[in-house]
This record gives sequence, structure tokens and C-alpha cells, in this order.
Amino acid sequence: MALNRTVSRPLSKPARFALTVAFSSFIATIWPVHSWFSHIRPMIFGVPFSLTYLIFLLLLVFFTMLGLYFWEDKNGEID
Amino acid sequence: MDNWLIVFLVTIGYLLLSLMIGLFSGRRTSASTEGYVAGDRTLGTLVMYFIMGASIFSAFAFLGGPGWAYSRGAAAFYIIAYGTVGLIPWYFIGPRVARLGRKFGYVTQAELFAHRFESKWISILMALISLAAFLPYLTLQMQGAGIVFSVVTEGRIPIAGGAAIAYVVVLIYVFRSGVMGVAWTNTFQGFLMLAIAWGLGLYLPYKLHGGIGPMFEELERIAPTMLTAPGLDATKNPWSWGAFSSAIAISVLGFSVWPHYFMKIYTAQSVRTLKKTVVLYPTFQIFLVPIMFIGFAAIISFPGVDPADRILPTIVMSMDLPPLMVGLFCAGALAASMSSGDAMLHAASSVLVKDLIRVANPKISDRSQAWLIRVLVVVIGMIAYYFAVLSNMSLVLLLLMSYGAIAQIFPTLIAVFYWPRCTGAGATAGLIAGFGLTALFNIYPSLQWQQIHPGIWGVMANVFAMIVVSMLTNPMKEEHVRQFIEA
Repeated sequence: MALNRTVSRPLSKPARFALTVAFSSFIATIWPVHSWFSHIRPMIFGVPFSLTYLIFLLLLVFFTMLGLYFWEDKNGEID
Repeated sequence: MDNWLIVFLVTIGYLLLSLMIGLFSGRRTSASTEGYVAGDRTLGTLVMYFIMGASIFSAFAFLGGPGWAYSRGAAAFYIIAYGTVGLIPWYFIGPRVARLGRKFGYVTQAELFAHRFESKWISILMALISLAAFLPYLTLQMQGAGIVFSVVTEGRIPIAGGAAIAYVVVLIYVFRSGVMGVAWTNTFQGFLMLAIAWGLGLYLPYKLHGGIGPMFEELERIAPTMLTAPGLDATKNPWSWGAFSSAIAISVLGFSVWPHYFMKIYTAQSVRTLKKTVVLYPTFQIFLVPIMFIGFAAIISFPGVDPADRILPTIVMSMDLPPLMVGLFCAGALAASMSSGDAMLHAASSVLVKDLIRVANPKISDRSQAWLIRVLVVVIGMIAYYFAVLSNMSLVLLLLMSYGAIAQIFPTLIAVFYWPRCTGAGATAGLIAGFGLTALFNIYPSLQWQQIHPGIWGVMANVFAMIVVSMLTNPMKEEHVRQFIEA
């Protein structure tokens, strides 16, 4: 069937990596992974570990996407 | 001068400034619908950053966020969790949407879907769902504005009056300036919200408990279940992991396809701007952390505040803060309400004209559409106001359903770009199955299992129906589909 030849542009390796990190972070926010990290102690800078864990995931995704953006910029792949 | 009068004057000052910014910002756009709805596709990174941040953070985040942390503890963490990845699909799909928008002149979400699947029914279906989902959210924003006014003026201005004052300002600038009014006021309002949230979020734990660490240590002794996910439910019993996880999952799916955010993809001046907005978004999102601190700080010092949404204004009013500070808080809370309300009003009327009225009457000129959208901004504003403060009819069911219903658009979005074999009939069947099941589970809560969000079952039915019906119907023409898959 002709439609089988119609395929999306392939993603670059760093883009696939970033997507994997983002997806894994999503999995890490739901059960069961999240339940393994949902403790009060150790507190970090006075904040319970359960909240620090989510802040860590937020920063992880942020820096991964930032890295992807810079990589794409350097390699002319932004547009 | 009475303290409440100073507070009132600071608030009015904020409203006047919002009005001025809103009125001036629309001067340069064209008179077309592309100008009014998509700002002639000229928005840069700074404005895109704030328009996304401020539209997303509504009265729910500003008043409801501390309210959740205060009454349900770590259950509120789900708001941080879904925002972490909620916007990521835009990085990969957004550039395609923007390119196609430029090429074919789309300004609404359904225009893209209706074109890809060559189906006006999809347009009508999506428009109806969007409007039904907007209404309860819009009424919540208006009530939020009214509550803030009422609390800080010690009841001198009733909720109906406060909501009217704030939303007349919104109506004027949205009517005059369209998306540019929304964009530039959101930039101002976003700054204000960030400053107030960080200021209060760091100050209150210090003032009430001597710091963030001592505050959480005290809470660990008194209410340890509030500090670990999934926290508590609305009746103060432990929340289930099923409910917590599925709330995150459905919010992640729905986040990137809410029509009033999605339409902003068309406003970006370039793909670069769009990608930068997605990358930088978590720097806005992290302001939910101090917002949570506010709620936690109040658990011990202000027990028994009901409804919990009023905790933030209650703290602010009972702490003997200088009236100027209270006024600024009031402005920040109004900013949160208005910056989401304006985007929804603007999107709702654009969707109504572009995806419903124009589909029924294709001959209507672009100029008439632009005017009709303006008129409908006012009409929709008045309808929402009626439900917000005048009617006793509860919109709770509509509100519960709306996130689950909007999330049904996500699988269809993926099919638009990644599944060439998906047909119009398949996409329509998927949406109907998804909406239908979500509605059924909301109407009959006894059908629920493990408190899993009804929208999750909807998404499953949606994907199943989309695949089966697509495979049973003739494939679409390759050259047509290719424009989207290879965009």
C-alpha cells in the first residue's frame, strides 16, 4: 500500500535520548516507581525527600532539554 | 487612610496598568483573524514564555495550590509532577504544527485536525468539547477574582462585584487587542505572580516557623502522612496511588492539547522561539514549590480554614502585613486569575467562530469573522459571569469531566503526524468513544476501579476505536496525508 512509504522524519540520536529521559521521568512520577522514593527522610535543604525527588526530576528534564536545544543549535537542526 | 482602602487602591492601580498594557499592545497587528487570533505569528521568546506560564498558572495554582497542600498535603505534588513533562510533546510536534499553520493559515487546533482528516465533524466535535471544558474553568477564574476582592476588602466588595471589576478590564483588552492583549498583559501578570509566589513562599515559612527546615520537621511530628505522596484525599483519608498516578497521567496527556495553549503554537514567530519556550518552561513551573510551602506553612498555624482555597488570602489578611504588601498580593492573585481567564475567553470565542460558525457557513468573510470573535468574547464573558456568581447551578460535573475529555485529543494529535493509516472515520470514532466513556465513568462513579481517573479508560477506548475503524475504512490519499506526516 502506498501509504506505507509515508513516514515521519527520523529523530536524531540526542532527540531520542531526550525523549527517553522525559518518558522515564514521567514513569518515575507514577506508581510503582514513585512509591519507592516517597519518604520524608533524608531531608535535603530542609525539604522532605518526596518533594526533593520531584524537583530533581523537573531539573533533570530541564537540563536534558536544554542540552538537546544547544546540540540542535550547534548542528543546525533547530528548524 | 484605612488599610483596606490602600489595599483597594493598589489593586485598582494594578488593574489600570493591565488595562493600559492590554490596550496598547494590539495596535500593530492586522485586522484579520490571523492578527486577532494568532498575532500575525510574530511573538518572540519572552512573551511566549510568559503567555504559556501565566495562562497555565491560573487561580487554581495560586489559590488552589496552597489550598491543596494545606488540606491534602503531598497530594498537591501531582501538579509539579505533570508539569515536568507536560509540555515536552510540543518540542517535537510543535514545529510541525507551526509550519502547517503558516502554510495553510490555521489559527485554531481543530482547523489542523479537520484538514488532516478531511472531516468537518471533527471540527464540530472538538469545538463543542473545548467550549464545554472552558466554561467551568472560566467560571472558576472569575470566582477566584471575586474571592480575592471580597477577602482583602473585608467583605466591602462582594464576590460578584470583585469578579465584575476584574473581568470588565479583561473584556476590554481582549476585545480591543485580541491575542496581543492577552500576551503582553500575561507578561506583566506573569512577572507579578512569580515575584509574589517566591516572596510569600519563602517569607511565610520563615515568619511562622523560623524557616523551611523547622517547618517540615514540625509537620513530620504532627502530620507525617501529609509529607509523602500520594497524600490525602478530599475527605482527609489517605489518597490512593491509583488516583494520584492517573491524575498525573491524564494531566500529562491533556496538558499539551488544551486548545487555548495549543493555539499559542501558531503565534510563535519561529520554530526556534517555540523550542526555547518549551525548554525554559520548567523555570516557570518551579514556582509551584514556594506555592506549596505557603500551604504547608499554614497547616499548623491556621487550622480549620474552609474552604481550603481561601487559605492564602486568610494568611495574608491575618498576619499584620503592611497594606501595600497585601495590595500587591491581591494584584498577584488577580493576575493569576485574569491571565488564564483572558486566554480562555479569547480561545473560546475563536473556536466558536472558526470551528463551528464558519464550518456551518463557509462564506463568512475573514473581516466579519474577526468582528464576530470580538463580539462573542463579550457574550461568552457574560455567560461565564452568570454561572460564576449569579446562578446556583453547579458545574462540578463539567469540571471533573473536562480534563479527561480534553486528554482525548492527545491520541488523535499523535495520529495526525505519526500514523498515516488513520482515517477521518477512525479519528472521529476514537474521539466519540473516548469522550463517551469518560462521561459515563463520571456520571456513574460506581463503575470506577482503584479510583483511576475516568479519562484513562477513555483514552484506551479512544485508541482502540481509532485503530479498528481506521483499519476497516479506506485509507486516505497518500499525497494529502504526506503533507502532515512529513511536515
